[in-house]
This record gives sequence, structure tokens and C-alpha cells, in this order.
Amino acid sequence: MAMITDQAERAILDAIRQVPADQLAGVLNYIRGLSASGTVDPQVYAGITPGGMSFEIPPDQIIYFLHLLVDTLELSQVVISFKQEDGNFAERTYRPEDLESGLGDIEVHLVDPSFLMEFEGGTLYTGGDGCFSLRTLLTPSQIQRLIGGVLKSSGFDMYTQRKITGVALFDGRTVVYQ
Amino acid sequence: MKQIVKRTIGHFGVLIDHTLRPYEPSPEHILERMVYPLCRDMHDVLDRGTKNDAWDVIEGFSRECTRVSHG
Repeated sequence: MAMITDQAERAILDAIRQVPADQLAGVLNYIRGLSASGTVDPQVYAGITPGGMSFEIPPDQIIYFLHLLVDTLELSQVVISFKQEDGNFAERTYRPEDLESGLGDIEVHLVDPSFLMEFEGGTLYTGGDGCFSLRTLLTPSQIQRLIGGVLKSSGFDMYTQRKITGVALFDGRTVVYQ
Repeated sequence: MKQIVKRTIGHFGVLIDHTLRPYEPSPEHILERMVYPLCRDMHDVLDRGTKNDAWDVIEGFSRECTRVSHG
């Protein structure tokens, strides 16, 4: 988050003092509006968390993301479950070679908060609509591969020698966290 | 572990993970992706779970707190 220095704060206060009293209320409302709309969610995000990673994936790229996960973690099998319309849970087991057609069959459930993917040593949770939390032990190279892969799916390549902890895409602008 | 218990704990974890992100998620995102799913899970546990399930949820929440605990 950006820091406002003392010097910048004094400059802002000086500028506000120049505003005629009858226009001050309008200026303050404008500033409040900026503050209220100041939080913008990224279209894409991948970052480290304690015990795993956290992601924002565009819904149309979730299948690609799940493939990326299975490939990167070299999983031999995943168990996917989700809540059905009758309130009961369905559970499907997939091997990597069956994943493509299998995920296509349950595409509508991939964006549902009840979607859950379990595998040996880990679980992928979601709040829905491409918002994922991964819990598993990851090597540094797996983390970099997942971050790079998620970014690549949005048409961006990442070239850096530094270890990064996360990356976000805001309106076509990439922000890298170290 | 029961499906409803897994999800309730998992969604609590999703909420915690968002507090650790390097940017501030919007209130809408917090509500839609974390609070509402968690509320539905809580409803499911109360509606279809047992007292043991409720206890398992609390234990799971505690594990999630430990995951991000500094002290």
C-alpha cells in the first residue's frame, strides 16, 4: 500500500486550504468516492500463503489452471467433489489422462464454492468463480512454475532471476511481489 | 472427514488467505467469495451435521488459526 509522507500530507493540506469554502464539501465527497472505489480486485493473482498458495483465476481459465496444478505437482490422481442440486455431494476420481474430458463434464461446478479437489498431500479449496486456496507443501520451483503458468495463461511471460512471492494482473498492468 | 466439515474449514482458510494478500480485496469479493460460502457451510453443519461435526469444525478453525499464528 502506498505511504503518504509528511511532506506530501502538508502539500495536500495546503492544496485543500486553497479550495473556496463553498466548494469544500464537493471536494471532500470526491475524495470519499475515490476511497470507496479504491479497492480493485485483480483479474489474475497467484501468491504464496503459509502452507500453500492463493489464486484468482478467470473462470474461463480454470480448466487450464487445474491442468497446470496436476502437471506441476506431478499428481497421479485427484478426487474432485462438489455439491449437487439436491444438496448431496458428488465425488469423482480422475487420473491426469482423464482430466480433460472429466472436467468438461462438470464445468458448471468448477466455479461453485462447493468445488473441492483433494490429492495425496494436499487440497484445493475455492470460494467460487476462480478464487482458490491451495494447501500443500510446495518446492520453490513449483511455486515459480505455478506463478509463471498462471500469468502465462493471461498472455504474459515472466522473466526474472529473482524469487517472487506473488503476481497480480490489474487491468492489463502486472504487479510483481517479492 | 465429512464433506460439509471439510468445506467449512476450507472456506475459513480461504478467508484467512485473503488477509495475507499483498493487496486489499474489495468488500464485494470478501462477501461473495468468503463470507457467503462460509455462511452456507455453517447452515449445512447446523442443518445436516452432528454435534461432533460442529466440534470438528471448531478444531479445524483452530488449526487454520495456528497455520497463520505468529505466537
